[in-house]
Amino acid sequence: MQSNEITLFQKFGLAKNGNFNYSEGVNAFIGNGFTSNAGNTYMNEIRLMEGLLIKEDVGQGYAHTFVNGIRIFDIKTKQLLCEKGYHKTYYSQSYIKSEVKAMLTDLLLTASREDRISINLLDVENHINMLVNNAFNIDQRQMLMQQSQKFLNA
Amino acid sequence: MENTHEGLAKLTVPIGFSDTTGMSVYQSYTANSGLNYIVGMREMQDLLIVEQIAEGTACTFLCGILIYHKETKTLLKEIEIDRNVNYSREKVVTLVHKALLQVLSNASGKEYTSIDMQSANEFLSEALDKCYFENSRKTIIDWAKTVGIIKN
Repeated sequence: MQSNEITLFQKFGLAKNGNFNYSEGVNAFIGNGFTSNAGNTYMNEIRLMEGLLIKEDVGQGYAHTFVNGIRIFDIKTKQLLCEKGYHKTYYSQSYIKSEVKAMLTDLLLTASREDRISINLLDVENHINMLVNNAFNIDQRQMLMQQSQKFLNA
Repeated sequence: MENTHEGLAKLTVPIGFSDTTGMSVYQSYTANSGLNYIVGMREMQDLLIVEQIAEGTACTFLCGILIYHKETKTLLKEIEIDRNVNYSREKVVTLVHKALLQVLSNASGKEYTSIDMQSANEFLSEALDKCYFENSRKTIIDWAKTVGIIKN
């Protein structure tokens, strides 16, 4: 990773000299794993979307891969936006995508209700769908470069 | 209730911030197991909510919660947590809410004071929600404006 991109990860306390590496297979940045005595490997997967960072807690067992948690952060402010924990839930990209969409939509609807901001549910869903789909489809190395340029003083 | 200043005395100056939990960190210790044990604190009205957490590579566990009165430093409630309870803000809010209602109910009985528990319940819900989630909601609105979901 280039130094500016590492800086964005460091901003979140995620990287010390690039201990996250890009995986082409999953199109995400994978952190150094920890293997327990039981032989399960635990790791973080990071994906970036427009303005947001998605951190997935993943556990890889002998036969299955599980998702343990998802946290979504605002890149500009580092604010934790929403989080969800899972127990014995199989990992799949499609599941993660649908969860992220649901988490963001729920939070935005709740927040707009609190602030008495009128929004159209269909618009919100369509927009979030597009942004999350982009996060999974666009090369994350490209996304990282874009978001670093936007949110860091180069 | 006992006055307990010792626990709070060590929590004077924050040493960092936990992005995972969204709170200021006052103590931190990395065990040989690799788990990073942290003690963080949030202020809610005149209360201090101290959270004890163990952060792993791909998991965060809630270990304990202490609730103090800010001015008198009195320990109001110590909430014991079972092992391997995954951390989430919602979980902490639920536990703190329940604990404070219990403390109020016990205190009103012993002090022969009448408390409107319905009002107390609503007050706590609102205060905890604001303490734990207000910044997240403000930020998502800003984000939504930035990406064009909400038009200015």
